[in-house]
Amino acid sequence: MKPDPLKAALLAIPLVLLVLVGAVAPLGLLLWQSVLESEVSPALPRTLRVLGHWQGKGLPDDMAFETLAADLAALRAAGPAGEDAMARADARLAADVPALRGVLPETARVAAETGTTRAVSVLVAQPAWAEAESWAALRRAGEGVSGFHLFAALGLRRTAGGFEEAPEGARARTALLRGVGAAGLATLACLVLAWPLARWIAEAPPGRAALLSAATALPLLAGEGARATGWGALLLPGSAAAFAALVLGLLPLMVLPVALALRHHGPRLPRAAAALGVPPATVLRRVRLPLARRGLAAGAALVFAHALGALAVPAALLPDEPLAAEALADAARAGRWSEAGALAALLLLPALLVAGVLLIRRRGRAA
Amino acid sequence: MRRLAAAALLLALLAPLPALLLAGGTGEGTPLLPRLLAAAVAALAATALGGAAGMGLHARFRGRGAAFALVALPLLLPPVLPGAALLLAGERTETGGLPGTVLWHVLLGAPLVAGLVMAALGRIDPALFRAAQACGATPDLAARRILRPRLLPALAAGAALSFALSVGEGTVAAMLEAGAPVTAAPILSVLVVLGMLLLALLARPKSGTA
Repeated sequence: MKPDPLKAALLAIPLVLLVLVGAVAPLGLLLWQSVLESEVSPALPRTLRVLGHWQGKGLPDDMAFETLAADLAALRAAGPAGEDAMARADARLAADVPALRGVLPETARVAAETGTTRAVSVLVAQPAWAEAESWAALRRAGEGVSGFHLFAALGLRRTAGGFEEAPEGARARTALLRGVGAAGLATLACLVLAWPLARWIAEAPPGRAALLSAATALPLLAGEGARATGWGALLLPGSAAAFAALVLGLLPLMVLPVALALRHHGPRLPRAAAALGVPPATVLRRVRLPLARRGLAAGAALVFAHALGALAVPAALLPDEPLAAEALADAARAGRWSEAGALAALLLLPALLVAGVLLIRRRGRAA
Repeated sequence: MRRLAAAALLLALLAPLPALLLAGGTGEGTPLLPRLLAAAVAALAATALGGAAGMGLHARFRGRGAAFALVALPLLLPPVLPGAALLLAGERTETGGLPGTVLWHVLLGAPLVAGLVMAALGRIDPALFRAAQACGATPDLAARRILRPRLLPALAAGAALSFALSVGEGTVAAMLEAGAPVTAAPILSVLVVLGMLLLALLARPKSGTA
């Protein structure tokens, strides 16, 4: 068989294209949402255009007050769709400056009932509009692209001089840290636990090895939902139970690559080392583990990524304390795409980092 | 001692599955037939695309490393990310959830098929092809008599694995198909997986002699 590079590339191209269309492009779209400011500009387009001319010192001129009142009146006239847009803009402003919660709907309501000029009616409705800080927050939320949501997912907000703690900052950071920390711990636990089972599979005769690996793969193939239901019936909810279920569910992802690597190299080298009088602990450290290196690296990358993205098991056994993955799923289901995109970026980064470090170094050494 | 620990661990791995059967049917999710059909479509597409990619990636060409990384990427992503990303893409293109689920199951199954095919090709002794050439066999005949009997079991195992994976995979499916609980039809998935593994086991000894 003479390998023809062009033919080989042509054979691989359809799947590569499908991955680009089906995985890379949607992920790119999701990550793009995290830097896009999409909440305030559909609600208050004219106000933001006028604020573009504002120097940022003192209050903006009459024109800004006028257009704000006009935009809010237009939203009120638009019915439910307008109310929805106003609520989204209000939530975005409140995430930046908590004192602005409810200010937009309240202004719209009171200004509509005030008989003065529009500019005055805005000021009468809400004293918050007498402060430059409120207008600055409004203008920030109208920039096309910003890092606001990324920092918010880290529990930070940007101020003139640097960063400060966001209102819900501690909670957001805890969810993120717990998610990444649990994934790291689960990977370590799998590294230790997988070894005896992987060696059993690797050293068994072919028929039994196939049976054992099939039994190992069974809980993995049954799916996370099936495992979550099963463990939910067996264990009481709690952190320890959730962690145990997570580790045991992902263990096949570590066992099978390690068993494959061990089986690939065969039993000859460790046997030879033992026959030469090397103590068992040294055989493990100097011969068996290096032989299994590729399997361990692949298994660690797989377990870490899948632990980071686990949804059903933590939801079933740890209902009160959502991890980062559940926060992301909730935001996505509710259509809060900026928040979902920011969380996705923060989860994708460690997953790709771990996979890159583990798998690319392996290739470098092998070459 | 180590064997005992391994056996205990294996039992612990399998513990949730009988518990699931005891806990009774929680299969109030999506109806079974569409799910099985979607899994069959995903398995077929994964086998075709993954088989071709495995044969291509077995040879050397420029950009092979990048192609390999891209093909393996879906396996290395936390499942919640494609769930959210495909949900967003489905909303923006107004195609709904099911195409996204099938697409993702194809992308998960294809690298497994590709890996099996690459492993099967890697086990072939190149001397066989030289011997075939020396005996005057045309390349077509050599491919038919040497490649096919080794590729078909790998493709069949890959198809079975993709089908089982697609029936069982619940994270992305639950995010994309509104109303489907994460635990949709779990018992069915266990049964299908069991049947698939039995089939794979029965098919294995015949081909596993290489």
